[in-house]
Amino acid sequence: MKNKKILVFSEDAAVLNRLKESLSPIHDKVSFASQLKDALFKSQNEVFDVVIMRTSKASLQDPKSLFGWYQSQKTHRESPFIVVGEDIEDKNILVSNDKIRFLPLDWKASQLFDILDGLFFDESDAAKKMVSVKFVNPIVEAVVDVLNTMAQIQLTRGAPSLVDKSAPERTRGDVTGLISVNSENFSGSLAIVFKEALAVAVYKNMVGEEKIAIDDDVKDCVMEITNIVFGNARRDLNLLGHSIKPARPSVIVGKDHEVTHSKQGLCLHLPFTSPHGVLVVELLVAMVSGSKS
Amino acid sequence: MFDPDTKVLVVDDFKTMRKIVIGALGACGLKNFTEADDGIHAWPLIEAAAKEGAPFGLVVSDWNMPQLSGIELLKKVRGTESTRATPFVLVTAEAEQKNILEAVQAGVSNYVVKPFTPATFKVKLEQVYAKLKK
Repeated sequence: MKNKKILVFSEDAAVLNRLKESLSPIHDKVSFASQLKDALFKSQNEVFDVVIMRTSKASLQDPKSLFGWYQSQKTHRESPFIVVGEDIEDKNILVSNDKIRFLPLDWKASQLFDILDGLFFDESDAAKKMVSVKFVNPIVEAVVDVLNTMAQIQLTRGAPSLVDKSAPERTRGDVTGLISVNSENFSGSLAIVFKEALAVAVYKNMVGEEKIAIDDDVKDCVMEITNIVFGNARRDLNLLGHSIKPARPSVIVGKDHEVTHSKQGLCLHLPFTSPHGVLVVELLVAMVSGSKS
Repeated sequence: MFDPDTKVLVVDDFKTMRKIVIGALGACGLKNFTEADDGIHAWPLIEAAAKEGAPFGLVVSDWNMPQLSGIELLKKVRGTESTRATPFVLVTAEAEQKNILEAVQAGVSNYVVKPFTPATFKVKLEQVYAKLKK
């Protein structure tokens, strides 16, 4: 949404100033016009993604209004309008026009942003926001807590990043626990990627038996850790309003195997270090088409 | 605390967790263990032991299992005259409030949330024993 070109036109200076205060800090592609001729001039040189307008015209459809001019131009008529104030005499006719949104004169910034979000909802942005903001903490806390409580291994958190899983460079490990992360709004998977030395150390500390390599017991242990991490993160995420469905883990084994998720797309990559080597947690979440949260 | 010879059934589809639970129970002095990898396999063992007059004195079960879940197993145990009084502990990572409520309503003796330490497990077990002796 940040990259959308916005034209703000208001002959009412107070309204113009309020819109400037709201939009300038977060949008760098906003043009402001206080007179109709300025707004028309800017529009002739550029097609805006949205026009936010406070007009003194009683009718929006008046051909001499900015909206009227936009409707007369093939190149411009698809631009949505946000009309500030509801004192427009043809509002009742226009309210069903899906290109027009009305904002009350005493609007709150959140109302304006909700309208802009609605107009420019983008699945990849939403997925990005979701994996980066909503999911990081519950997953990090679950991983750290499970390894510390069950295996007495202290993890140190590295910097999280978003990686494109369709890119050729993939995360590699020796044993990986995988589990589906599905709700009505999104679907994806969580991967907990171990190098052999760490997996063996975790097993030894949890169960009290020595292992020199990854075997069925270590695989079972990695699945159980994945199960517990998922269960704990799911509880915390569902408290935030998600409805993540129960799932069962699986395991991938192979020296230096490439971690693949069931879908492609942006993936939250969380690296950790420990006295026994690195651990990587990956979460790939794709929005289900038509959902917004 | 429970008599060391108390027959204990440990139910979990993950071998690792069965070993951890057995380790934690062993640290509490218990030593007579039987294992099952799903509720569906646990229930005939519980029924048969009761029928033979040597019932399990404690069942420790995971919640989330593929064929018969821990809560379903608990309901079977509580719904059968010969097994109704068996102390039953659920061990689970599914610690949502609604799960706990469901388990309490079904008559669970206690509830251990994963991850747990042996010390936490011991406290939960002592609570079960104290309830049993009331």
